[in-house]
Amino acid sequence: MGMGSGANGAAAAERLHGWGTRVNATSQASEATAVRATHLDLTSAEDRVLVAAFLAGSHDAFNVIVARHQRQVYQICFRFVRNHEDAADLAQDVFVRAFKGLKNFKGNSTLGTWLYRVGVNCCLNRVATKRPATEPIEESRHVDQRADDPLRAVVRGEKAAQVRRAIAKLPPKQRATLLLRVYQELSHEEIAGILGSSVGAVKANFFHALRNLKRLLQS
Amino acid sequence: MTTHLSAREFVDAIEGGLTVDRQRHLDVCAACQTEVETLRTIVVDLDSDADLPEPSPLFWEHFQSRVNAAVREEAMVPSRAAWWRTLPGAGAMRTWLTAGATVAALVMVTAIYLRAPVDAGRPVDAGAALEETVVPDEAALVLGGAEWEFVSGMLETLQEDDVRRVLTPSRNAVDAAMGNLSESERKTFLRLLQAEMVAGME
Repeated sequence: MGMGSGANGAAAAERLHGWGTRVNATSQASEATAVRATHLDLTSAEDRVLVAAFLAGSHDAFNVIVARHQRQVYQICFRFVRNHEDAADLAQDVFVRAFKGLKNFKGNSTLGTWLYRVGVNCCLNRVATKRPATEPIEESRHVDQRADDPLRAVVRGEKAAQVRRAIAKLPPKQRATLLLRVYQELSHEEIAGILGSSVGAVKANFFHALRNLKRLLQS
Repeated sequence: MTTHLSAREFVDAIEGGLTVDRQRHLDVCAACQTEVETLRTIVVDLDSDADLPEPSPLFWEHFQSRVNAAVREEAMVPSRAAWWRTLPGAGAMRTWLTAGATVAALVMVTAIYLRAPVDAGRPVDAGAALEETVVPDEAALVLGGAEWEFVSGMLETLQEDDVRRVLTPSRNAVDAAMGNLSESERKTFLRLLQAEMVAGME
């Protein structure tokens, strides 16, 4: 029974995959025709148009979404995990989740904010299960290139490492609030939408994050 | 003297969004001024870590295909919980299974109720009552002859061939069914199928 149903299931899946490919191809072809007809280039289309096109079956639209938002998603992931490999894995995970969950995107916020929300959730889950004991080598190697004076660059690099260590010790929600506010420069309203809390709670979290940082940097 | 700034107001203060009324307090309150200055210093310190190491251009070129591969891989992995959903007649089978489970649950509850000792009116001896609650009457959980007959009778009506016919797709059945669909119906079907597969994976 198990073997039989497995084989039948595989055959059914193969047939359905075949149909999926054919229907997808048809869908993409009609999508492409529509795009040509309206002179609409997906790469310059608004996010909501891309989402609609993706939900209608255009994988190209999803590719444009990835290309457009990959940097911001990667950056927030990097802020949390502080190493390239984990950040790249997390960013990939964010887009896989987005692929599966875009049908639930209601358009109440911007797509960027929604992707931030998915990203922050992924990151909070990751840091909850995996906490690096020490700072990765690639991070400590990173020296700010903006300073002309090498000594100033080193001092600034030391300060940055100190700040990173302190941020890593913050409670997850304070950490997320701080990173989104200071480095991603999102508004308190946007952060509230991402973290699912009120603007007041976001401001309070930000205040406590700064207070805790002060304590951590002094100790 | 007014109250000191709250946590939220301190954030407004360092970001220049304090109300006129509270700004008036800040102008004359040394303690609040010190706190605001400290917070501003921390924000300046944070700026020292503003820059991130930029991945190579090759990474961005590769990232897109990496995401696509992961998406394809996710779509190909069958969900253990939803494998039977792909079989024809799965919807009807789910209904029958639900109905069967409900009947079985009802039979169990009835059996337990009928077998329970009828002693509700008897005065309760505290010690004895404790023993009775700690040690359940196992006999009450076993189906009696009549109840078991009912359940086994139901199961006997299920013929092996019937089960096999429901679980096994006939040759070309899916293709034939799909062939009868219009273009828009196929699109809708595909969308629903993808949604179902995604739901199954979650």
